Amino acid sequence: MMGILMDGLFNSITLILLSVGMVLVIGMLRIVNFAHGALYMVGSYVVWLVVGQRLIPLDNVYLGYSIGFILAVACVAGMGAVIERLLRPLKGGFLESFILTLGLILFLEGAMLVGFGIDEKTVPSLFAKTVTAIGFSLPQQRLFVLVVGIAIGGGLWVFLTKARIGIAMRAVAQELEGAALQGINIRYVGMLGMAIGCGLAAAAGALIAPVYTVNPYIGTGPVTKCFIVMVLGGIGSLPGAVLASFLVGFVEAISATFLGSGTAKLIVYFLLLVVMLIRPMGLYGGQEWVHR
Amino acid sequence: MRPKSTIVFAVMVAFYVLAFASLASSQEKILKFGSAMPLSGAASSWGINFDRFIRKGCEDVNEAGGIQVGSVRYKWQVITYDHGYVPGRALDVVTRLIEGDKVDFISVYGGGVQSTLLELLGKHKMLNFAGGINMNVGSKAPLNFSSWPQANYAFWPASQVLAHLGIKTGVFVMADDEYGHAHVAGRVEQSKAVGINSVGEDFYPRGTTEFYPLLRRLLAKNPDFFDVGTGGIRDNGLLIKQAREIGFKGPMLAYAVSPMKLEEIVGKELLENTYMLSPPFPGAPMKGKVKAILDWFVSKYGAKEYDAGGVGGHAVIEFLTKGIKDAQSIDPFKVADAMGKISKEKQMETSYGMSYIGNAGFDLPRVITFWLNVYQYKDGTWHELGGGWPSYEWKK
Repeated sequence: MMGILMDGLFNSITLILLSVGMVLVIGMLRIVNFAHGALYMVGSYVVWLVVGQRLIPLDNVYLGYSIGFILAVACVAGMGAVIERLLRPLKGGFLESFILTLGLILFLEGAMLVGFGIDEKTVPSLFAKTVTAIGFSLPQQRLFVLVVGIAIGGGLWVFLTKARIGIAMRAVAQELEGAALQGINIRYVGMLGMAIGCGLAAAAGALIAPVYTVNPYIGTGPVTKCFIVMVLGGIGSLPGAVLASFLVGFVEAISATFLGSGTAKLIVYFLLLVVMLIRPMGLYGGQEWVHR
Repeated sequence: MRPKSTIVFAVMVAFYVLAFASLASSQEKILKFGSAMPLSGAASSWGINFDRFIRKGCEDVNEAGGIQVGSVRYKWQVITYDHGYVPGRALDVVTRLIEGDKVDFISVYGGGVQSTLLELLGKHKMLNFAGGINMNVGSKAPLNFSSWPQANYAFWPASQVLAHLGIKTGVFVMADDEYGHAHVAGRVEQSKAVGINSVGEDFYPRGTTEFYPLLRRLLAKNPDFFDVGTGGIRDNGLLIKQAREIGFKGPMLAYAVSPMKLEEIVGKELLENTYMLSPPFPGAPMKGKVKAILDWFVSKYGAKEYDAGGVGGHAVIEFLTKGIKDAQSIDPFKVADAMGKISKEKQMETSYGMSYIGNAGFDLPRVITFWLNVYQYKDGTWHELGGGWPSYEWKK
């Protein structure tokens, strides 16, 4: 049973990083970035290039991975800033932003396919051993993902609640015009929020890369779950995204173990349906973006 | 008429007769081959490779002079569309190939998309030399061929090895589609025939990367061995890797994937005690056409992009070309009949090695059948244990 719960935690942490990133973007720009999964994929590819392909030839795999991770986050955050500039003139238009981000997905997937070939890429694991404790075993690599994921989440929380710019981001998410009237540079904050959101997607991709394999289409599955989490938690709600990520992560792990993967998906969708019927705004919908 | 003008007139007539005759004898036509492949999405690596090998097969035939049928010389032309392994899209692209591009023959890749196409293919009497067809579906259409031996048919060489190891119980997994279910049913049936009982079967949605829940459920039944199915390199690799991470140490059976890529995904240590059923792969001992085609592929695309299923594209063209030559016709029924006569006794050398068209347990011979080897990964390297022809011997 402990093993199943660890599976749930593992699912949840990666989902949190992705969905929080997406919520940040919605909060800043009031649009849904459908290319979020593609950016997650790009993060994985950057790590693969640095570590798997030894773009930066380093004998120390930990140093190589650290540099790859930072580069992945930085590159994709930079891409996020560029995307924000492209999306800004659309003024929150759903159809326009959907078409733009869909085009971005196709472009990024095609670029990876053409640029790096069709075979599955692998990033060497940093840790080869398995941790055995309290009746379960977990590969150290997965434990690493959990620890780093939690650290990133904690760091983000501190940033949003304590840092001046983080508080400004919350203000923008809560009330755009009010924030502008308070003298907050909403364009700069919006761009920063987009960059951080995309950077989180890249961080998730970089963490997951040594666990699975990398190919141009790895973003599709996670981003679909991301949408479920966002709707479940309440669109635009960070606490909602975190809570819903845990809910989906654990429900999926438990039901997949006992009932099968196909049934687990059905259960997650059923859960979404029930929550939508009982509370259409989502579990945390309508609440403040980040609670004090 | 003066004698000199008679001679000139005769020479001119002879000239025109010879010119016309040579024109008629060298009449060249295009034979269109439709290639409906998953070129995008999770199955794209298969589709892209299969298409590459189809095109190479057609180039080889054209460079050798084409196909002479009576006074007509045919040259292949390939038209490829992407169906992304989505049945609805497959229907659209195949309709376009048949009704729009007017292809003469077709290959649709993907067991999971075939059943939606039966009516369309039947209506147009289109010979489909499919990649990865489930013959339970295919046997309903007399012009359906498969580039791969069927699940239980191909399992025979591996089952001998497993029986020799004293295996008594096993678990079987595959992707959750029509092809996957037929695959598992076939493997379970044949395993039982050699004394191996299935203690668990499971299916996963295509695109799955997290197999821990499935593995925990199946491995709780303490099987002796684990059949990871023919889901492709990523599925095979992640299933083996994650099963070993959870603690399973028994033999695992993979299918016809790039062994170098498998080693990369799983890691040398975790790959120990893994078996693979496959035709010869880059790096393994081989000769003749197999070597030639794999050397070409490796030099052009690299060994890491190799997958055994893709080679079927070349074999499809080889068999089709032979069928057309033997039938001296491009009528699909005559070609199908001629190909069906390429029996084990009349086996020919193809990019798979010695191959023939077998019936795989169905009424008509419709399946490319080739020798399969069993390899074991031990002490950091692959060892060839032996092999055999796919067979229904166990049914006797």
